[in-house]
Amino acid sequence: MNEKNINEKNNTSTSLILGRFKNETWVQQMWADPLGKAGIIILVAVILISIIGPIVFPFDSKAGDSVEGVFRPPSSVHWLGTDDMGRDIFRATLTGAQVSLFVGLTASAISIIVGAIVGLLSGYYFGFGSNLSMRVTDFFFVLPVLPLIIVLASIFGQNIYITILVIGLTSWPSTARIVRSQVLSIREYKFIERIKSLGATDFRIIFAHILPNVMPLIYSNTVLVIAGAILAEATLAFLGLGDPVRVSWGTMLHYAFVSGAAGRQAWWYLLPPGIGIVLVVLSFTLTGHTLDKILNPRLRDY
Amino acid sequence: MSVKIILVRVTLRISEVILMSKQSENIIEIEELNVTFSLRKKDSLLSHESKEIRAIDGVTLNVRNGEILAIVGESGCGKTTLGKAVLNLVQPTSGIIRYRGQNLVDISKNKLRLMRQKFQLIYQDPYESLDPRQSVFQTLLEPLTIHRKDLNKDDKKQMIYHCIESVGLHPAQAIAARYPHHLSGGQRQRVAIAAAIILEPDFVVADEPVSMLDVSVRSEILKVMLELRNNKELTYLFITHDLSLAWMVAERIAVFYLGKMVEIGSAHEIVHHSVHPYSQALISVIPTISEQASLGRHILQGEIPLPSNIPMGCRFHTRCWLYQKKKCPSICRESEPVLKDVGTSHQAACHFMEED
Amino acid sequence: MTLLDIQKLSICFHSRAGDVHAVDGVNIWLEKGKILGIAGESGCGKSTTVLAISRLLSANSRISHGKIIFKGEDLLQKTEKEMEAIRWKHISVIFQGSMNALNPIKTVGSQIVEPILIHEPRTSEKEAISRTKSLLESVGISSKRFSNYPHEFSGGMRQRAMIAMSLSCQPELVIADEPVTALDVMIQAQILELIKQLSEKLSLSMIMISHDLSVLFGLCDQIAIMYAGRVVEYGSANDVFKNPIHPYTARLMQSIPNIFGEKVLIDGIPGYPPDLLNPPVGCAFFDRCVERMSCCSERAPELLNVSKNHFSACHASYK
Repeated sequence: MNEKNINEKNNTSTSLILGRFKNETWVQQMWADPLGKAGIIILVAVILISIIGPIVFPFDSKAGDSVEGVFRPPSSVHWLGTDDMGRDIFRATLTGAQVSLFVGLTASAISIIVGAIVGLLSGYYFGFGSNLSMRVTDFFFVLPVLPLIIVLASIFGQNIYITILVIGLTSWPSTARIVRSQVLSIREYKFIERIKSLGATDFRIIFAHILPNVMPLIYSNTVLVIAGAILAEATLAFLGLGDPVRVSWGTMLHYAFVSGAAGRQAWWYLLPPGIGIVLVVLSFTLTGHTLDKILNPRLRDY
Repeated sequence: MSVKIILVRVTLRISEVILMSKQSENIIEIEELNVTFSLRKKDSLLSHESKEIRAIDGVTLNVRNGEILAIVGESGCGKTTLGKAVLNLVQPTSGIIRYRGQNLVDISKNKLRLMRQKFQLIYQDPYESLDPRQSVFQTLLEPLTIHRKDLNKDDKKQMIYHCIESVGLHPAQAIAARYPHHLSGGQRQRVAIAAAIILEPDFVVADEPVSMLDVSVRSEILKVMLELRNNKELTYLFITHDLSLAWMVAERIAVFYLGKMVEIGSAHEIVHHSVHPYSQALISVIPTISEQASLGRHILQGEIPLPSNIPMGCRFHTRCWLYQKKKCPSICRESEPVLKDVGTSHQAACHFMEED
Repeated sequence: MTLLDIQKLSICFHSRAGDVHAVDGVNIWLEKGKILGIAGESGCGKSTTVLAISRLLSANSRISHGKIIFKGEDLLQKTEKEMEAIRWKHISVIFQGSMNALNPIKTVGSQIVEPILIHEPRTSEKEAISRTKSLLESVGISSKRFSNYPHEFSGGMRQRAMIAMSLSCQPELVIADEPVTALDVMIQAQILELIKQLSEKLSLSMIMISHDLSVLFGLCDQIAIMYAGRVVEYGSANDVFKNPIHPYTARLMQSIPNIFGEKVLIDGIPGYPPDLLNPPVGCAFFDRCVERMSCCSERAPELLNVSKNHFSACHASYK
């Protein structure tokens, strides 16, 4: 029997026709898609900037001892001008990137871990426990973000960890639902039954067999969740519910708004954080959707 | 040697000894097996009305040591359920299943776990029976990890490579590193067979193992299965809807209809001298270009009744051509025929058995 | 009279890895009133060839060469609008997996009435309904089931409904793509018998595609065997099944268990079909052929007349 990979259902010319080229990694496939390429480029750029930027251009949140003064437009000293307290906006934007990304990533981590576990368990098991967990998921699903954070902030004070917690708590249900529906269909595949017939424990089946098959879905969902979390953080900070000490883009927009930047036509104060948010969210969204396109047909392939 | 290894080996030996001492000519004995599924009526959560599906309705059958017994029938006849019931993947509603004399139905969980090594299942769909995220090596390693904790890493590796070669895949090391989507349907089915035999079972249920493969690939897989049977003293329960395939591969054929066995005998007897009108109908519609097809074709009208609505009396009478020919005798509507001897090791269940 | 004549048809599918030559210089013809069977294993190009007749191929396909002459006109030259007028009225298709091709939220009857109203606009709805009812009767479905939904039909009955639908506009050519795969053996026999009776009654011209040769026994007048996108043998059913010339056909016939023969394990065909991304220069069956000669890998054999109306594409058969 020769070794050549040849014509049969998945590797055949027919499946090439349908656009699935299994011998490429998914990164290569994403790169080939123009939207995916754009997403990756922006994402990598943003991450690099957020790491290196604040080191090269540190931001001092104390009121600036700028010679230029407050609300100054961009100049050779302050590349993006100054804000209402005379601080350099360029540096603030770089630091803000770090904060926004940090919140976005940590909140998403909570969301995905909780969501995946709930989804896996409630999808695999039948009966009371499964139904109960779905009802709990529904409960968290409809929790309103804003009132919750206001309540928690008023009890525990406004800080970045409260923001992370709230975003995490309110976004895990969507992951749980998606994971659960995928688990429900994978559970029916014959290889699961075969492995059960070998005497495998439920733990082994869920974590060694079902989870790896759900991972592609989780990856693409993760990326979209991160986009949502960053946007959520920006929204909350803009409304003044964020951490007053750490300057994120949302916080910058908040102070811009509150200090009347719009009225003074200080576009240099409003645009950088705004564009920053748009770019980051866009890059995650583009990447996430492209990933979905690539990974999901494979899931349907089984 | 660690205590664990000693313990596992001793347990294996003891169970083998127990099993060998009960060895009889029949490896599997099935008595009056019933498997009924009940579906609750969909519209109301509180309703206690349920539809009963009698997937297997009183089947008595023996599988002889070392033979290939084919179970043939159309959809809804219960053949897949039978295969699963024997492997305890489906809980029988009543009846007895014995493996080498040992009753499997009310067995303790631990004993069942040990038994599980002794019988395995090969699935129809080569595309669904392997975990797409596991390489061939990992797929074959798993049964060993679960059941053979006494083996060390190298032993396991050797066993895996040996297994891959025994199903005709070469070179073993290269194949072991592949994933299912790199393999053709035929190759995947071979891997599925390897996964089934790696624990050295003595009874394998093969559920339509070649029906999803191209015609030219089928015989390779069948050859592998037959070789394994000869070399490793396996017994097969070969489930198929294809009578001509059953004839070619099996020693004995059992024909099923709507959950009951209607005829059983040697392959030759069933195909050339069957006495049950359903078997005769199935044989008559086998497409053939041969001029020897002197049998008139009995194309049964209508569809197979739903298993939730099994006809009274002989369940086949609603479509039976013999019933029509004999002007609808009332006995067929009123009483269910039982299996009667018709020849050497040939039994059929019909009130009017006659050769066509 | 030749109803359909496919001449040197070549179809490529574009993929990121290159062009897949799914169909390569195929010559197939069908006489009026006859049933042609096209047989071959998965990936041989039979469905692609036949879907090209109705121009129903996917967007990344390209018909690189050839003509499809239907009633004297080349279908490949027609515009989409002209094709719409031809589809169903003159050429209808029973698709693979027909059982799932019915719209679950519409009654079966209305789905058969629809093409009648679209393609014969001068028919009144009343007329269309009565025509549908008699069509249902002719395929063995009681006309009382006109208003049933597809889920109320069994697999076999849905297939019959699809057959009724394909005949609704009285086409000249019916294409059946694997019409009985996935059906029980007895239902298969019923449907094949039905097709046989209908084709005799209505003098239908049909093309039946199947990967299972045995399905075509007793039903087809002519048979074409395809392998790796090429036609390797063509002739009357009697000739091809009983006296196959091409080695592939011979091996294929041997792979079908014959209950009237000796009880031996059939021989399959070892090896695999060639990769259609880079089709071989010579004969596509070269790697797996027991009768191969050195010239076989150098020149692709053409489909030539070997004996009376029996064609084979094999260098060894010319001798």
